[in-house]
Amino acid sequence: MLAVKYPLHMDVRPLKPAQAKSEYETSDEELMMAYAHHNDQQAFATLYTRHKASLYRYCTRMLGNEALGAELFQDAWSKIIKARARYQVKAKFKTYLFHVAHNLIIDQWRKNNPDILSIDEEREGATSIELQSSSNLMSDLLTQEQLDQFKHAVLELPPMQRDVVLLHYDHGLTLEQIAECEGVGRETIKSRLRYAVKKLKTIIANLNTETELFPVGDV
Amino acid sequence: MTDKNEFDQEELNVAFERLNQSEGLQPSAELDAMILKMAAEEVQGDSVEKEQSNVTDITDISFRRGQRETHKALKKKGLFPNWVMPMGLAATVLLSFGVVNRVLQSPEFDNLAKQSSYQELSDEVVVTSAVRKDNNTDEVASFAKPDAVNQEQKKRLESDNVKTTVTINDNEINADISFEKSPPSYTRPKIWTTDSSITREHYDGTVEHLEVQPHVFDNSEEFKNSEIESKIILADKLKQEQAQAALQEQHAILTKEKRERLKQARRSAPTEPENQMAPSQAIIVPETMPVPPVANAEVIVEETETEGAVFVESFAAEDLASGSLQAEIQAESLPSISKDDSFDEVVVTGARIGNAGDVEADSALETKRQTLESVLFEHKQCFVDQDCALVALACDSCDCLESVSNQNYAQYQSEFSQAEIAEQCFNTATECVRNYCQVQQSE
Repeated sequence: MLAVKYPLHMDVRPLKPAQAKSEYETSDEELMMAYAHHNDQQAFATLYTRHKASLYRYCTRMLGNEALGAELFQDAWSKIIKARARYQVKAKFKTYLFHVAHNLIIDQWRKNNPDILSIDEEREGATSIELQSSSNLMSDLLTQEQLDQFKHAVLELPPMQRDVVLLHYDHGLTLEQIAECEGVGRETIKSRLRYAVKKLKTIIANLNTETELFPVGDV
Repeated sequence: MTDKNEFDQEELNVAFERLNQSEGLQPSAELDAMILKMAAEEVQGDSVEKEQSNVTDITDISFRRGQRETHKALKKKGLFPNWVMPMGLAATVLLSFGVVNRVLQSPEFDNLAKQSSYQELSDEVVVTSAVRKDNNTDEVASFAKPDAVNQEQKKRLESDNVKTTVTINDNEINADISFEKSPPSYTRPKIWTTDSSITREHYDGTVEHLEVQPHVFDNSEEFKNSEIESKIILADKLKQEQAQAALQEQHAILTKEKRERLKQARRSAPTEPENQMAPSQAIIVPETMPVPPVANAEVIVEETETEGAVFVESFAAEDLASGSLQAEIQAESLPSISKDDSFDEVVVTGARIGNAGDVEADSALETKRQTLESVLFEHKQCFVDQDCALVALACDSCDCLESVSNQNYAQYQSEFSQAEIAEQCFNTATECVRNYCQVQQSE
């Protein structure tokens, strides 16, 4: 298991229920501390509400299957709950949450198909997806078909590349946070992300022939 | 260095935002309820445990109180005489002493002691026992360890020649042994043989174990003329060394073959036109033989206009620490690169991304020290996986993990039997040496 070294510069002290601020003022870390060390169930409910959609999407898209994603989503929260006594604020809670989920996903992959972990694997058909162009991609209302194509393009990325793309662009984690989450260096993540974007661009370029939704630059 | 990823940030954010709106992926209400219930139950479970723990504490206290009161009551009533306590204590001590003494004198313990002495004596010969009965004196010379031999017994041993059978690699030969007078004679017997096929180097210094079987003689004459049934087991050092060398040679050949095959597979991998320019993302298969500090790495070179992969052969890992990395670039793998090209970035996959110097006349790469320093804490968690094939790939904190799990691994698995893999794994251990999983062979 990866041993993630979280930065130690954050100083978030446990928040007792009595001290609780309003839901919007309280940070994730404070909520988790309140739940972990003061059994504040409401704090957990707030925390869960904040992150459930994001984590659910991540799990589902990483595994490419909603049923598996839901199962893994539940496992991730279960781990968070059970390990709460050992919880200490050393990084953003979101990083911690995604770190747990990421590890579960890796375990799942290793269990089912170790080969899938190859980041350089060019899966057949990845570049041959026919992304139908549309004249209306720039509009606010993308057609469902186009969104499906974009989704498939993301799913066609090699898993480790898909991982960084999702964490960075969909869930807003910084490169440093992803690096912490995955236990590798920032530069590794940056490199991985660059290749992922490039590949995504290649796929989207087909889609972009008539539109400017994704200005891909010089692919 | 420009962060090119930022270039697409907004577009991709928008794309994902719209995708999310479109899909509306959310956990179901049942799942929500289940997780919240789990969280609540865990908390309640903790509370119950705490309460139970407190109850236990109270019970303990009351129990102790009860004990104390009972003891006081008994004392008051004088149920036990005053001598009970000291006698009980004395009985316990004596019993313990008896048990310990019994254990110390038991044959099992003696065997253990012998075994440990064998280990210490390693290459020395230990006469485990020699029993002789002389009609005149009824003397029995018997000893288990050299230390136990008295002076008289030593003298006898030193003066006696003992005919015996020597076993070398399961082949029995006739030989004589004698115990030299120079100390420690009784642990270093001289071995004589008329068998010309056995030379000194076969057994010199390699006697592993000498066992002289117990034998009782009726008189001293019989003792002198008889052969003592004994068995000397000699390790054939020469053959052992030859076998070990053969094993290592085979190991080296297998590893070399494997590397060649991996290289070939890498080169002959089908490349689509668009992939020819794309970086290969470096399948790194570090050495599977104990070769530190030399390591192989594939370097991805990205130019302003073009990019591609070059394969760097055998650079010294210590150069990473010294701040320079020099390696031959295989030009055929990146025809677009010339000697005058200046690189935007050099990616040493599996190790580190660093700034590149110019490609010099001899096609060597130079990297800067400050970029390499950060490599050193990036790969710290190599671990050996189940088999050797995974060893190089099982660094959890670098890309080797991913490299292992690709088709090369499948190829490796298909070409080597489990026995061969196991053989290559023999005595190997992996550790992270300057950012690379290095397989090392222990002594």
